[in-house]
Amino acid sequence: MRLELNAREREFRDRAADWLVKNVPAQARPPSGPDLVAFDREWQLRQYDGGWAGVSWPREYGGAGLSLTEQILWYEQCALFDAPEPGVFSIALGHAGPTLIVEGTEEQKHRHLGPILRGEQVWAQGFSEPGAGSDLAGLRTRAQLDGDELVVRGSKIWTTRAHLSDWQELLVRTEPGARRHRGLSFLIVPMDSPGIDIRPIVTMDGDTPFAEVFYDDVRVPVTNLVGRRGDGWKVAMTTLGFERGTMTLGSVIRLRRLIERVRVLAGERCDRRGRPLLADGETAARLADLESEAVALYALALAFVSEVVHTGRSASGTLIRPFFAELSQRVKRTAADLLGREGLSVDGSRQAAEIVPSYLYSFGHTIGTGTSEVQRNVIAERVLGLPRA
Amino acid sequence: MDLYPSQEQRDLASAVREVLAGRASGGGGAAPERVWRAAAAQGWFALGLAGADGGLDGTLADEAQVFAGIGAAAAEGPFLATVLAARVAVAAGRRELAEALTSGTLRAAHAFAPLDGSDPVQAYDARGAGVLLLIDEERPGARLVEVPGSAIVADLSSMDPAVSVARLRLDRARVLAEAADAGTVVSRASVLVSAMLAGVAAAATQASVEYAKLREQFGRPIGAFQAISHRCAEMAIRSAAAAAVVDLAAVSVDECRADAPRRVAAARRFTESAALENARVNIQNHGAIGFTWEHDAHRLLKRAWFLALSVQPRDAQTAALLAG
Repeated sequence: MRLELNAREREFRDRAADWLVKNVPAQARPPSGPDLVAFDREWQLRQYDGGWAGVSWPREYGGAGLSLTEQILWYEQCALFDAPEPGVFSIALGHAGPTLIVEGTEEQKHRHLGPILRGEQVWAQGFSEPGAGSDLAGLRTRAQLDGDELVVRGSKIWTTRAHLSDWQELLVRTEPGARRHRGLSFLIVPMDSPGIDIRPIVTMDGDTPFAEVFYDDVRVPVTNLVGRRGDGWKVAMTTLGFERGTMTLGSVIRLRRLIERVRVLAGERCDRRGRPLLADGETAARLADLESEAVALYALALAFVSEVVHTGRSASGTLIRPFFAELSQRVKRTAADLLGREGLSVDGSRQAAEIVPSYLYSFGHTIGTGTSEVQRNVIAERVLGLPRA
Repeated sequence: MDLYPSQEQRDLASAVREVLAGRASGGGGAAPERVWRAAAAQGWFALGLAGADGGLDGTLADEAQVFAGIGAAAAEGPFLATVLAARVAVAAGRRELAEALTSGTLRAAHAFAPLDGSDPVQAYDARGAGVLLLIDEERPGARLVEVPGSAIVADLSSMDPAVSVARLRLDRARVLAEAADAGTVVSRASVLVSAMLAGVAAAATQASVEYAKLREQFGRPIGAFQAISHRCAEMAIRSAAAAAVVDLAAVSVDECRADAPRRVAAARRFTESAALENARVNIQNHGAIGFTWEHDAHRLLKRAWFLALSVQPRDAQTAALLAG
């Protein structure tokens, strides 16, 4: 065990910090729309030009070809310097890209990996369906072989940024007789294919982060299959736990910076009698709890990555997601509480404008990418070996 | 950056488990003689001391592996006080005293009290101990005093079967050593208490998971019911994070990092909550058998309760965690 960086890691970190100081955009990220996409594209391209896109991705596909440790250091430094998050590229960088690196054909890798790193391809994830949310393996969207094409028919829902995306990773049923996890395939689908209809969904915070997507005989070349036909489930799960673990380190640092801002807020704001909120024992204890949990979560994520580096695997990746989701929800709830009546107006102050929507959006944390309950099932069955519910 | 335990650390952890497995309680908080001798022979008491001081040059992270095992076994015996007392003795140049402690011939009791104040004090594991480690958290200060049997005014009934509680008079107690840097002693103590709490949290998780696979009701193992399995999943998250945050804090102290005090406080608070919650849930998961004296579930709860009130209590944690 060691936390000190070796000479090579230190050199990398210092170089990253130096670059970030000079390159992190000064202007805030636009809340939505084409401006937001333009902003994220520009930031991604700037990272690429600086040699910082895809730190651990292979060199031949445009990555920097460095180790996982450097990838983590990069995420950490980005969080410390408040660099923009991957934003509209989070699926491309966090799931589609890593999946193609492991499972894609040479042609697929060359078509997508470089462009993803240069910010040229926004990706969406087409997994959930109206009848298959937590029970993802029950999905029914079909793709039927017709010559050298697959014809997709059905619908997906909760597809993040579908209306802004160029490409989609789509999980479909290709083997009609097969049940559940068997008989699924993983497809790359251009979002401008004829037959795709997108209807945005307004969420409880008033935003439209995702959409319902309908497929009416959408024709996709069989060369867009990732992995073998029928192996889609395995392909989709290849990098899921792992990416969560590595990206979480950066997210946890961002969460700790948020806790820090909430603490400053509690020190500045006063109650009706003019006493700082932080002077209240209950508020102080609550913030101390959040801070200790965030440090523990950081330690858990670091322990997970360390185990993967040493042994190539770790069972604890699945423990991180529900912990992170629930903690970040509590942090945002605490921030909202500190606003008091100021939080009753979404745009009454700079702080309310930041905290209120972020609190409302946080309800999605324990639902998206598998509800907290499904995550607990997975931990109980796969990590602890308890019998199936 | 690497939080993966070394081969030596993993070997150490399994050696500790072996020593503590299947032991019969010495009763009244006393460690069985066999266990105490094996612990001394394996160097548990000398592990964290420098080689030049008769120690084994181990790190605080190494010591944390040992104390996680002690916590998981809810083991009786003044392991922590003896380790800390040896450190105080070394720092004060009392080489012979340190050797008596590291070799296992002398056991240390401990108490929390102002150094020049309250008398009598409530002390833990004073029966069978030759010295008392007096910890003053406010100054902070740490002092070793002699405790002859005559210093014990009353034996009290302990809430936690893993320790004995007594009332001691210290008015004529001879001072043997005074720690120059008590802050270091307290912060190392806090990490090792956290390690024991993480051990308690892990043991509770393991006990619940094993029982949930075996115990059948309504024709199936109770672990097939989400009311039980989801609680087990939550216990697993808490105990895994507890173990990780202890390692993070220990390595941060070993490397003298600027953020070490905050990480130590984080480990202390997180492991306390994790141990108390896991021990509580473990009793509930076991149903009526978990409510009996015969079953070990209550021992974990009582360990967690005792340790939660050890060095660096909640108000001190809060202050360290909110320090700007």
